[in-house]
Amino acid sequence: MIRFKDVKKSFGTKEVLRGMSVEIKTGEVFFVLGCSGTGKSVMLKHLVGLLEPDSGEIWVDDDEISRFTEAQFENIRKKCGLVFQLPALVDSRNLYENLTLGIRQMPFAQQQIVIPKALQDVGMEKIFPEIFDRYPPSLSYGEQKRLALARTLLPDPEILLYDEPTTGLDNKNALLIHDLIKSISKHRNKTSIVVSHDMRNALATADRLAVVDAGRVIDLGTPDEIMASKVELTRSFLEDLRE
Amino acid sequence: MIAAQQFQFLTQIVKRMPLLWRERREFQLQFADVAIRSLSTTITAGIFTGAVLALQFHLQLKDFGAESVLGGLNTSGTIREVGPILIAFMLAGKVGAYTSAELGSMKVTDQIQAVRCLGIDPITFFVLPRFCAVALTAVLLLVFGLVISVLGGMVAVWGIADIHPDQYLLTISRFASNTSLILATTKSVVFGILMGLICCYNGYQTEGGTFGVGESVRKTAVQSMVAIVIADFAITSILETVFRWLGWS
Repeated sequence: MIRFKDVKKSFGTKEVLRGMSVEIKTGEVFFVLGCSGTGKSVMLKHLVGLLEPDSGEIWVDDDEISRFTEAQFENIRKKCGLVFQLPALVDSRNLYENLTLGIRQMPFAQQQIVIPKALQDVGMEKIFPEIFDRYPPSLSYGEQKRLALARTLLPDPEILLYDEPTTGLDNKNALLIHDLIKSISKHRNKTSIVVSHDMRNALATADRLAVVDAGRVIDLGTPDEIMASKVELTRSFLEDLRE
Repeated sequence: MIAAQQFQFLTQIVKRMPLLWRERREFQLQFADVAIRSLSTTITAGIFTGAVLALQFHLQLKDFGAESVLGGLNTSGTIREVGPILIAFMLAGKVGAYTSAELGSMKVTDQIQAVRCLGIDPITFFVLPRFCAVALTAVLLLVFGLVISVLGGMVAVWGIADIHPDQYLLTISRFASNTSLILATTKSVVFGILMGLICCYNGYQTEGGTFGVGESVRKTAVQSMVAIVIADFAITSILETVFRWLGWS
């Protein structure tokens, strides 16, 4: 379970989170929707200690992490894997090194067992063995995104955080990523939090959705509840779908 | 303020030195890359630094009929002052700017954050191998560049002033003593560390997309040159005092 309780965060004079409160249940696929600059990505970064809130509480299971030190976040980062908006593969390391970054301490023999499974989950099991000594820029953007997802899956985190996972992808690849999110969540029994502005795919993939505006959750519910919502911003997202 | 933050950053790097073996492959790649990429610059800078100084000394010495001491004077002047500073400037512009841009790009494309989220310390992973590679190659290239600059001076005066290399080399040991070598080596080491620190610090602190990367490169170039000039003055002052105190000069 993840809980944000009245979390506030400002950058200089700009208030980004203005009392964010939301609870995400274990095992669900939870989408956070909203326009750009409303604090969606900022919310995710708080969960892995890349940002510290100004006030409020953030709970990951039984840990209140808002004042955790860098050392304390070590365990939280094992529990929460973040897939960044950009693929964020390390340009100076080959694809194999990139893939195994999170499992460097794992014995080689064990790595050889878990790697094919992660590659299979992202649909790269056939091409990867031939390209493992290449470098990230040699892959297409979609392949880089999938490899980044496999890299996040390998340490086997309980919670997967996706920051705009379909940004920069065409419809076909975007759909593929959403299918991956859904299947990984079901087959690996993961809690998934997906930050997105793609209402169509969110409705098809999510167990529950939150609509965020100006650093607060303004609407929350299952896809059916969201479809029937009277909240103005939610309605405008839904109207965009009909056009 | 910046110097204090950079010093703090240096202490973080130094604390992690024992972990360099973990990133030895990245260190080796960076070392080879930096060395190969900078060799032509170092050779060019070395040859012309030595040559231009030799010609300048020759113009002045020939009026006094003292051309016989040209080799010693030129070597001493080159390796004590002009050589280290000019070659360091070239390397700061090339190696420093490149490393700063590389780290900066990694920062703004979330590569550093991503590695941190995977439970890896980004300073050990990204900065330590680059700092060590830049500092070590800069030291070696500076020493190599100084040797090349002596040869450059020798060839220049042989070609233009018809002073034979034997005659040029004869007086080197009289003028370019151990103190010159200690000065040159100390400067090379300090300049190398400064270059490594400044480029890694600015690259690692990059914020604000591609504009931020450009800003980091600019800061690296400016700060490196200013730091090198100040360090040059400080090292010369301190070591000359020490040499006098020891009766070596």
